[in-house]
Amino acid sequence: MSQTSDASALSDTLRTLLVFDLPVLVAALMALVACGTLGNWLVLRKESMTGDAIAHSVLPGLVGGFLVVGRHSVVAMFAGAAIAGVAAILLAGWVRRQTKLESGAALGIVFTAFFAFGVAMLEMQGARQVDLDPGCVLFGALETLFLVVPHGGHWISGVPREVWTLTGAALLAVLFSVAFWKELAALAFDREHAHTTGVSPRALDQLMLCVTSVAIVASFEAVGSVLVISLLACPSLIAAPHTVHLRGRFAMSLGVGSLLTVLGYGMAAYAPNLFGTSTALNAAGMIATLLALAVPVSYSIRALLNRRMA
Amino acid sequence: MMDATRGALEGSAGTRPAKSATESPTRLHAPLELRNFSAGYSASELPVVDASFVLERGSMTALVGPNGAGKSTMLKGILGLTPVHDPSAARFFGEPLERVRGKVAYLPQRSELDWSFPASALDIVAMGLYGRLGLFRRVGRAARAEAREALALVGLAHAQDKPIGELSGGQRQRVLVARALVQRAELVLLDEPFANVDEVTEQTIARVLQELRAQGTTILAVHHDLGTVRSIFADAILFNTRVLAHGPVRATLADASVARAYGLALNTAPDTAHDAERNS
Repeated sequence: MSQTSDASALSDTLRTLLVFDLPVLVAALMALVACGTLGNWLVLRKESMTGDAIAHSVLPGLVGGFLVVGRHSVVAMFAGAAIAGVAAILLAGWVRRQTKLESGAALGIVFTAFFAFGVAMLEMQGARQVDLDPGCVLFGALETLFLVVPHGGHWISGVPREVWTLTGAALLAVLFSVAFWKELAALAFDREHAHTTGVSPRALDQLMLCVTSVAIVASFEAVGSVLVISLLACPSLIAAPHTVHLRGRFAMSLGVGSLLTVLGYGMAAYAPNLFGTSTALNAAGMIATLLALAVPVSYSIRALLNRRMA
Repeated sequence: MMDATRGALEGSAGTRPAKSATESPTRLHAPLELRNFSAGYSASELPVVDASFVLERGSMTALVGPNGAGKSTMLKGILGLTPVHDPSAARFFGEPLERVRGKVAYLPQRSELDWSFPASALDIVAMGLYGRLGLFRRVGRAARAEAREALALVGLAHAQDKPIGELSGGQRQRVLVARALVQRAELVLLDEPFANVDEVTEQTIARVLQELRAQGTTILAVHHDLGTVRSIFADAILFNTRVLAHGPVRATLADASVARAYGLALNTAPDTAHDAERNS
């Protein structure tokens, strides 16, 4: 008697995990692989600002894509974001030449302007109708990614579109990094020497920009701008004080990043229950907070280890 | 027969018309020839103006001049790393650089690089092989062996697996020299290879460069230290925005009046003296 109720309780828990938790976790982990892999290169090239800039400036493009097509459309979304991203980078170049500001400051001016304009566009009538709102832009809609299996259909047909998009972006980021590993490493360490050995910095820069934009746009809708930015910079920075080899840097950043992602999601979904409240916390916000906190903690641990060894 | 032809042609390289090449132009032409070469970001402030000189095969030349004379800019301009007035003013083995990249190696200033980059000494040396390996090819056993050999030549066989962040300034400089060595270039351009290095490193690099020269490699190095320039180099180019003199090192530098005439305050302190060395 009690055994069967135990079993059904167990299968209920399992069901909840598979239907509600697993798609969210897969989406978050794919976003981590896509953004974290490329973020490692950006951090090594001292260009983490570029990722930040793209993540902000694609917003008006995304909203514009929705407005023009009037519904969710991956193609419109990517096209809009690509146009906005390229426009922002060209504009930043122009601002830099006109003002003689350093490139970081020029990027900063342009991407905040783009982001603000994107937020303003959200308030337009059409955009409201296509379920985009400021909250979604900041924190994404991770919690809405659950399996919706039609009656009698295969479970695979119920996997949310975002999970597929993110998996594709993650694959692309990994393939790009593996294929151009040598060249990306040489360019990151010594750009001029790499150039003299025949690596084309401009071609690789542009390819890198494209792949990074794809990763950012794919992640943006699901996990929001806050988590995208922290996924780009934090995993690499967490691994930086502990790794002295390139492969180690990538492995540790993605490994620890995954652990924190799972932990962050778990805390958001289940921790409030432990404290007797029923409102779940925002998953993307929780993961981003953990990743950001882990950076100084990681550096402190390094300092402590160094002191002990000395 | 071929060698005799080569000798005759090279002997007259300075006066020979540029397009005398027949079947194998890269064997006949000087490793580096500049004609009215100017470099810089704007036409109004050019750090390098109308530089003209020819480096003979197997020559070892110091590029000497005061701080801010444009020596590094000239090297970078020659290599296409900085805007130049007319790219065709620099010819390598009679060709534009793109056609003969594999024959040219560059060693940048050590202080311009980020030594906290996650890599071992061997990883960095192997980067010198990337050009020859080409796209999508991994660094295999043969490449690693070659990189190891180069590290041994600069006395760092024991440090091959050390993270570059843990190496001393001199050791880092030797890693960069080893990276240039594995490129097996016929022309090596070095920017301040002797700046802020210990005595062992200085001797090692001087020895390696002499050996390269003995094998017929052509060497051009930005150099600051007038105390050592005579013992290490055979030729010198006195440079301050323009080429002021070019010839055997003693003759070129002995005439102090040349330096004074052009208002040169040649000092013995390297450009990079102010650079904060992480591990010093």
